[in-house]
Amino acid sequence: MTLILPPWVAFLGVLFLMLLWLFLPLIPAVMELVKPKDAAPLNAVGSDSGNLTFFAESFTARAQREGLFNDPVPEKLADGSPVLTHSTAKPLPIQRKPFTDFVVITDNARFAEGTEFASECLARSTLISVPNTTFRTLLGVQDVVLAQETTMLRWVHVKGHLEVASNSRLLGRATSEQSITVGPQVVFDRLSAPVIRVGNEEVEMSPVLPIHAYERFVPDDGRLLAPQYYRIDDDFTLPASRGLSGSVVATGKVEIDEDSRVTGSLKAHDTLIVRAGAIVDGSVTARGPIRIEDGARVLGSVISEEAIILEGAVIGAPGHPATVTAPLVRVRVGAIVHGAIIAAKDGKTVV
Amino acid sequence: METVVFFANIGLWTCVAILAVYTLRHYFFTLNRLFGKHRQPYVDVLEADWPALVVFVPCHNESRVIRDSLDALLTCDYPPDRLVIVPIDDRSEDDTRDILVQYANDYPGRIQPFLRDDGIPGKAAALADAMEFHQEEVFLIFDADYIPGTKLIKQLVAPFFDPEVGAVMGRVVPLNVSRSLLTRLLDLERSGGYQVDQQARMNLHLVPQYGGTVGGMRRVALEAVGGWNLDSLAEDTDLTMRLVIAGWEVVYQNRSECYEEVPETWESRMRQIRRWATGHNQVAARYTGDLIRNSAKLPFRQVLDGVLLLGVFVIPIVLLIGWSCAIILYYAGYPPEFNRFTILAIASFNTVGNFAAFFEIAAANRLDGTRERIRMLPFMLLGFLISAITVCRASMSRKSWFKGHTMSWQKTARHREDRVTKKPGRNRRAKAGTIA
Repeated sequence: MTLILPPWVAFLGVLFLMLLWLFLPLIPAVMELVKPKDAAPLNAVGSDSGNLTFFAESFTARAQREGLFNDPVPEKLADGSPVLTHSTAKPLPIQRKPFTDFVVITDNARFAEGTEFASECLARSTLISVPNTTFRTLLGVQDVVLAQETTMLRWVHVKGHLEVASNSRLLGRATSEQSITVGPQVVFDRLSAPVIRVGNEEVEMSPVLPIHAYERFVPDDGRLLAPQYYRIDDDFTLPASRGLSGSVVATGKVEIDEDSRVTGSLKAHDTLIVRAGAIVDGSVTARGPIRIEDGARVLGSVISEEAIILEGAVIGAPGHPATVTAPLVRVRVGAIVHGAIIAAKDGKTVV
Repeated sequence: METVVFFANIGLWTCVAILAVYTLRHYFFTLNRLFGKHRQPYVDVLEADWPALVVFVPCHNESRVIRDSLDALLTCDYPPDRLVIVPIDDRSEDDTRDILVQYANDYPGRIQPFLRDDGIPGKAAALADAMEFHQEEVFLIFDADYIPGTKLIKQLVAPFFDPEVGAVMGRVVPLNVSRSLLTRLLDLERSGGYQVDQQARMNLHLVPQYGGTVGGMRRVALEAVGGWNLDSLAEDTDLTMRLVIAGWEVVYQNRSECYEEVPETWESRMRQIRRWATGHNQVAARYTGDLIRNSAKLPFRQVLDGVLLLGVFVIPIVLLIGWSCAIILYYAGYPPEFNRFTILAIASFNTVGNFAAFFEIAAANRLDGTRERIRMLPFMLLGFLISAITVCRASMSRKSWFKGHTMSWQKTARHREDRVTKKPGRNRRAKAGTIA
């Protein structure tokens, strides 16, 4: 038996199906509109971004709340989790597995080589660690010396001086309120301190002479973007021992030769090299790699979209902090940075 | 009749070509954001000898919102001795001026209001007048309804360590998302515009747009390109184009996010689009030629992107012309040439092209990590239709393309009723974020 529908029923049926098809995508939309599940503003203001000591500050506040700076050290935190104390009188037991409880180190007692701290550590006095120690986080109230092959998993913050021996790994943030000295072959992500030294070698720096002491140089193939802002549609080289007043943007390579000086900032669309003994009063930026050679000084920040090789040069100055930032950063022994070194992907100190 | 058909054919194919270019552009940007390298070279500049800075906040009847904005600026972590906040009151008729005077008394030296009762009205003229009194290295601008986070100012200043950067733009994030269907659609639209469009331009070294707020400029760059254009309704796009044409770089910082209040009524939204479209078209009329002549020897991709950017508010007209040509051809009995190809093109465009903007917004929400709000996407059709009609009307007005109109304050209505920030302590820097 064949069912024959009247034409108007067929029409209405087709119309209904078409409207259903059309409005199908609107069903979840209407549901979201009527009963919103995701209508809050985006979490736009991250409080930890741009503040390398954010976690250390939170940790310090918590340690104060919990009374961990007091004597005797409480045995438990407010949430009931235990607190371990390490001191000369009461050292931590030697164990192969990591310590998972909160640890307070009250004096300069050493712990066993290869110890792993999988929870937060608070060092209330100067801490001299032993080789091959692993910390999750460490807050040092005084100085901290991390021995060879130390691994820091998240952050270390030291109110005094932080010294990191060779072949260590500083994953995350390493900050100090005074200074950091990093040995060779240390892997790092983010370092910040008023003074960061790589190694203890002193590199001979050229004297900073006033700009009129240098033979004046004016780029003749550039055009002025603004007074003292030169744009050069090619490579640019500042010859040795010459002085340039102003900033330079070059669409090719930039090379600042030995013992010359630039009073402004530099930008290269390609590679940028500041040769030995040269001085840049401003910042140095490049889309390609940047190399700052021995004895050079850059007062401003050094920013590359690819890589930075910092030899025995000085970046920033006391009271004039600066940032060295690139996906890949290599810092040679002898380099000094006043401020921060940020390697987004791969940072390492080298000999 | 043959002449009509000839021109209708040319018109139709020109429109199809233009629309295809914009469609490809949408896909190119979106795919770049999904799979390309994310470029943000200045985001990690955390320690620096920060330059002297002035933050301007243009105001015209802003009593509902200005306190939140000033309180948020006062809590930022920029060195206070290098930061001056200059709210500019231009002929407000509410109690905005009283509020500014009160803040100036509460925060002497840090807040220095600029009170304006005469001269050309409008944001550009107000900024030009106020900036005359300042010689600081960097100027930032926030609209009065914007609520910057603690770290935002440093993030926006960091790109200026690059001597090529003339202007910087941060990301605008709607605060009043949940208020209505319109605010939810605007939230999606803003995500697409910033998370995909602007950041893709940044990634690809194209022309990110300085948007007039949550951003700023290097003072010498502004002066070098002739300062503010006082008769421009889109002073931000006007400045972007002059900077780019002169060889300066405009930088977009996706991580520099700032809350804003988006329009809550369709009427104020349409007024906003009309103003943007008119202003943008004025800029297109003025600078497209200069951009193509390319005296700064910009790379071709930058010139092309600049031209396409200038043309965005002409697209609804192109669409209208295309439809008209197709109708003429149909009734003239002359279907467009290359029949099979045409059918293929129309089918392709219907399945892919029409969804380019939706794809972009969906990708932006994925990048933002917001899962549920993507369900609102089908409603974007409504938003697009209203925008298209409004832009069409604005783009066909004389004001869009010719000089000689009277300037006035064209501002979006504010709807905020409650305070969203806590008042900071006097003469000190607060540490915590302030968004309630």
